[in-house]
Amino acid sequence: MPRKRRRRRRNEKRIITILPKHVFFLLVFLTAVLMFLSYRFPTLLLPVRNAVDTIVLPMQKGINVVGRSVADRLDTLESIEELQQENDRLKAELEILRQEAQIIASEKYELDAMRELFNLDQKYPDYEKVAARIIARESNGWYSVFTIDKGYEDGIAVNMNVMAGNGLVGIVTAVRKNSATIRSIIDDSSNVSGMVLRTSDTCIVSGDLNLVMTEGKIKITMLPLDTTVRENEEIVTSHISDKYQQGILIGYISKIEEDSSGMTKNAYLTPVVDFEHLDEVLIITKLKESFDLDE
Amino acid sequence: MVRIFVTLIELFFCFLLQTSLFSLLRISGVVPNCLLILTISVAYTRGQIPAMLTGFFAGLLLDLQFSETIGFCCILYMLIAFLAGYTHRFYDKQDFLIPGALIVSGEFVYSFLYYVIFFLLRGRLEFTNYFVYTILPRILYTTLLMLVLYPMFHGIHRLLLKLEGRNDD
Repeated sequence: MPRKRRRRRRNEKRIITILPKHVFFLLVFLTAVLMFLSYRFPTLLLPVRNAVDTIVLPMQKGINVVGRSVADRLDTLESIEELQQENDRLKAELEILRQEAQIIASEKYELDAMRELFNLDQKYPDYEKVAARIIARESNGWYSVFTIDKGYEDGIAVNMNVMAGNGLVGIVTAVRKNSATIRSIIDDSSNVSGMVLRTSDTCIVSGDLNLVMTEGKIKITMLPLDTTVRENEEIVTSHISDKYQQGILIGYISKIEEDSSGMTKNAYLTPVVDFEHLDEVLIITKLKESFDLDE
Repeated sequence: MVRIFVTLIELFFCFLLQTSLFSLLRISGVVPNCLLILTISVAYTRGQIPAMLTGFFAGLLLDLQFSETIGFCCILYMLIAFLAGYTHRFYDKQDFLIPGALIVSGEFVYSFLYYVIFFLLRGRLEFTNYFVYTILPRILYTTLLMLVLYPMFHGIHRLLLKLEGRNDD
C-alpha cells in the first residue's frame, strides 16, 4: 500500500511540474508561428495592432505633450549661447539670401513667361499634404522608425511620402486605424532614388547608422563617374523612383569620391531635416503613380 | 490575479516610458531599455516562468507597434529572461549587485544579438563604431535608469507579497 501511494504521488508530481524550459520552448514555438503569420499575411494581425493602439496611443499622446515641454525647456537652457551665435550667423546669411531671392524672383517672371510660351506644366507641383504629429519612436537605437497619430481613417496609405519643412523625412511603411509607421531616410535599411538637382544625375541615397552616429550624414552611391556635381549642391528625389514623388529636397552633397570599383562615385549627404528635433511632419496624400509592367 | 494585473500595468508603464518619454529625452541618440529592466527585475525576483511571459509580452508590444514582422523582439526578451531567471535561486532582497550585473550583461546580449541579426547579416561590419556609439551609451543609460526603476519594481513585488500574506523569504 505505502509503496503504491508513493508511486502515485510521484506520478502526480511529475504531471504537475512545468519546467521553465518547457515554457521557453512553447513560447519560442508560438513566436515562430507569429513570425510566420505576420510575414506571410501582413494584414492578419491588423485588428490586434489596432487594439494595442487604442490602449496605447492616447497615453503616448499625453506623455508626449508633457515630455516635449520638458525636453524643450532642457534644450533652451543649454543652448541659449549657441542660439545667439546661430542668430548672428543666420542674420548674415539672410542678407545674402534676400539678395539672391530678389534675383531669383525676377528670373521667375521670365521663366513663367517662357513656360507659358512652351505650355509646360510646373516641374515641381505643390503636393497636397496632411499634417501629423510624431507620438512614438522605435527605441532600440538601431533604427529610425517612428509612429504618427494619423492612420487609414485619415486617408494615410502605405508608400506615401513624408516631409518636414521643405525636406524629405521618409515613407509610410505600415498603416493602422489611427496611426502609421514611418521609416525615415536616415534609417539603416532605407534607400531612396535621388537626383542632383542641377545636373539631373541619378544616385541612390541610403541611410547608414554608422555614418549618422559618427558624422551626422548619410550615404550617396551610384553617382555616374562623369558627373560634374560639386559640394553643397542639392539632392532631390528623382523622376525614376517608383515610390517617391519627384523633386522633394533630400539634402546637400559633400565629400564626393570615386567608388573602389572605379565605375561610380560615392558621396555623403547632409539631410535638410533635423531628425533629432522632429515633432510634426507633413504627409503627401498623393501616391506616385506606378506603371504596371504587364500592360 | 492581482499580480498579473499589476505586471500588465508595469509593462505598459515601461513601454510608454521607452517609446514616448525617453525618446524625447535621448542621450547621444539612445533610449534606455525600460522593458528590459522590468523583464530582468521579474526574472531576478520571481524566476524564469513569470519573466519569460513578461518578456514575451514586452517584445510583442514593441513588435506590434514598430515592426512588420512580429517576433524578433519577443525572442530576444524571452531568451534574456530565460537566462536571467537562473539567478532567482540567489535572490536576496537587499542585493542590488546581481540585478545590476544582469542589466549590464542583458543589455549587451540584447544589443549584440540585434546587431548580428539586423546589421552584421546585411554586411555592416564596423562593430567597434556600433559598439561605441550605440551599444555602450545604451548600456550606460539603461543601467542608470535601473537604479531608479529596480527599487520601484522590487518594492511593488514585496508589497504584493505582503498583500498575499506570504512570508518574504
